[in-house]
Amino acid sequence: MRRHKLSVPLMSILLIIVGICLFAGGTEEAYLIKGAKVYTSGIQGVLTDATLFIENGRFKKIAQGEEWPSVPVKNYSGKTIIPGMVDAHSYVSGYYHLLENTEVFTSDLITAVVFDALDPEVKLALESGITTVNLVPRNENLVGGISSILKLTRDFNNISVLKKRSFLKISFNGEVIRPDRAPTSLMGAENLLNQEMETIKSGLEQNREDIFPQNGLRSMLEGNLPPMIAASSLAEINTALQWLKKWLMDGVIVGGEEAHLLIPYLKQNNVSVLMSPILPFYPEKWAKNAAHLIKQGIPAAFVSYMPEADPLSLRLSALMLYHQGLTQQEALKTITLIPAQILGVADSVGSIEEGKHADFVVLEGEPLDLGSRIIAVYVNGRAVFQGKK
Amino acid sequence: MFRKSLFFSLFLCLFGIFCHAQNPVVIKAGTVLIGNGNVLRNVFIVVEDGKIVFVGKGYVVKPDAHVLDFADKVITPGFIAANAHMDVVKQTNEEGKEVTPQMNLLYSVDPRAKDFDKAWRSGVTSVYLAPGNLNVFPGTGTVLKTKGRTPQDMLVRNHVHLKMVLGREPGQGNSYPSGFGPLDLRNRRPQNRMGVVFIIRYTLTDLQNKSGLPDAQLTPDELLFRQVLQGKTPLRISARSYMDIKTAFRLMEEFGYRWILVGGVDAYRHLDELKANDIPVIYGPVYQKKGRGDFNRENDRYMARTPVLLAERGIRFSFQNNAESPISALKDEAIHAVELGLAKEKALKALTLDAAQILGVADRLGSVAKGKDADLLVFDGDPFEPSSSLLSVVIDGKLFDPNK
Repeated sequence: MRRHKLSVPLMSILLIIVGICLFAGGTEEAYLIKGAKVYTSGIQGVLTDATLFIENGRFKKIAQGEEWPSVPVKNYSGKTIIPGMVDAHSYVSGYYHLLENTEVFTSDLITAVVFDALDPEVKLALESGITTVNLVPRNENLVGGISSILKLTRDFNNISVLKKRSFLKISFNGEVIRPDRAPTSLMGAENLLNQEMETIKSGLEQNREDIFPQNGLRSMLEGNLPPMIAASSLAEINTALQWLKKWLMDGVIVGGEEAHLLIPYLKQNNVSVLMSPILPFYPEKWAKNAAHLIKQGIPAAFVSYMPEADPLSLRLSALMLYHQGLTQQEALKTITLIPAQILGVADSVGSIEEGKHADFVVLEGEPLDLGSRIIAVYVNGRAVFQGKK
Repeated sequence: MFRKSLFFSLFLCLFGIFCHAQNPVVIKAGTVLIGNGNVLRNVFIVVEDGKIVFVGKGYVVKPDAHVLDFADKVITPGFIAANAHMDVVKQTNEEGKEVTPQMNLLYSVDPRAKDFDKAWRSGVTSVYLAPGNLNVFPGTGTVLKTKGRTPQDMLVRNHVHLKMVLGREPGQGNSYPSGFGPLDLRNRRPQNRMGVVFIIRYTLTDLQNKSGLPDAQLTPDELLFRQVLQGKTPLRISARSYMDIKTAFRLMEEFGYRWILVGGVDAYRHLDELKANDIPVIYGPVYQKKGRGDFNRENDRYMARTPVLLAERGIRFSFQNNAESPISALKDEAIHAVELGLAKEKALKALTLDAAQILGVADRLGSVAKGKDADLLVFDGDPFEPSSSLLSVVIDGKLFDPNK
């Protein structure tokens, strides 16, 4: 009995502490960020000593020296803020689950189901400033499946999916071509895909019902799902472009190491390029070629292929572009706004603009200086990572 | 910004017109071997926009024209490899099925491959490339120039001839010794000559039975075969041994296709039939590495005098290379035939105009004539003398130095 009497105040004290904690979390609904230099990636350009008013997980107002409501203030003076990075091609948290290598065509799989919020890779990505990912199937299948755009989070109860069906992943990469099953060559891969599409097209024309309604190829033929084609070498990109031309589709090429050789054809076909990150072991010219591609007006962005590459490679790639003569803002856009535009989610993420999701990264110094550490990362207005100050 | 770009584009247009109208390339040629056997001396060849616009005497050279003086040199058309084996495509065989007539490797070609470099440096300005020999119907071929930035730039004509392979090559790799190896896609028909003939007859008979159907009801594969049976697309039959050549003739009688013999180790045993049916031969290579395994044993029987015999009978022929012989040895094949008695004009014709006619691209390639592509070779002497060397190569009107 005595023990029971004691536990009542103890429990109440505990409850109060928990309540305070929850309340403290709850107050972050509306607050101001002050004092930082902001690279917006949007029309406002760079704002020095800007104030961001964040309410309900979105940027409500972005300006300098105006009347502001009396809400809690977070002072980041002397620090830099950039938009949360958008990774348009990532295997984060599901590297071994994103490959269903039993058939060549697995166009009915959706990647959103394999996202694991508790995976340490998610933490690593968040700590590196990536806030939005396009989770894609791997390259080993000719048609791998349907990719999904997610906001990164560690809270497995509230995974927010921006777009469940974003792209159909097609691969003309070397990984598809294997000696023990068709296709054994690049031309064969294209032909096999054409045959499958003809079959589905004839099924659509006859209103056949035996096709799984979630089939990605079917959605693509109906025009609801754009293709994302993995292609690296000249021959692979060329094949991909001819295939897109044949089926009268706009698409996205991912990989694109030699895309700079086919710039006129990329322009003709309205194709944007998601480039694999510039890594230290890549040839020196890759940075030059990537910069050339961007200067020629091709919408091109960097992706991380995480966990195949370190998420820091996104910032490294942008830095290399800066060294190739792009401005700091242009370089930064290739990992923030442009991938969001290519993914078709630029109305909600990709830049610091009024009305968009409050996803941003606070850095010690200049964003393209790899020596400046990330201090904090916010997703939907909530701090998901607080580093050492 | 807009005004700036407008001015710039105007400038570009004017510049283009200026270059185009005012500066044709004029070649002063000492000796021109046209390619059809005729010779011209001391003529002008005028090249505009990559095409030959004038060949002959009495051209008034404008003072600002770009003149190339080859007055003491010999000019020939660029050589054409009527069938080339080059390391320019990663995977040339699609082994998922045996009958893959839709395959075409144009867009798989890598223009930066070293073999293209070797080719134009040895005077080969155009090549025919097709999928490899491991299928019965591997696909259609493509005729490419050997210099360019993308395959689209290099393209002369696509979907040239449908390839068909007789002999043992399609069976290569289709069988494992019993008890070894997995039962995967390779373990299937054909494994030898019988299987190959079966698959050809099965495919073509199937299509003959569908002759009543309209084109719309056929698959793309079947449409290609229909063109073959109607004689619109010739078959390019890879056959070496006499029994394969006989099979090709037998199948021709059965299905009535037009065809071209490629390989033709034993072609000299069938001269009468080849002449009677007007079948061109793409012969060679005589000089190659010998004895590569069981499958290519018949390659050892290539006879060096066959080109001479073919020329005597008036059978149209050309030369090829294969995996055991580099593309740069194409001219050497002709030189060796010349040493054995082939007339030099015939040898040049085989490398140029005959090859173009076999490939059906004689409207663009094969001779030095008005309206054709400006693909020229400049030698310092007779091209078939081993002592003379190649000085310059002109491809699409642009001058390249093969020795640099």
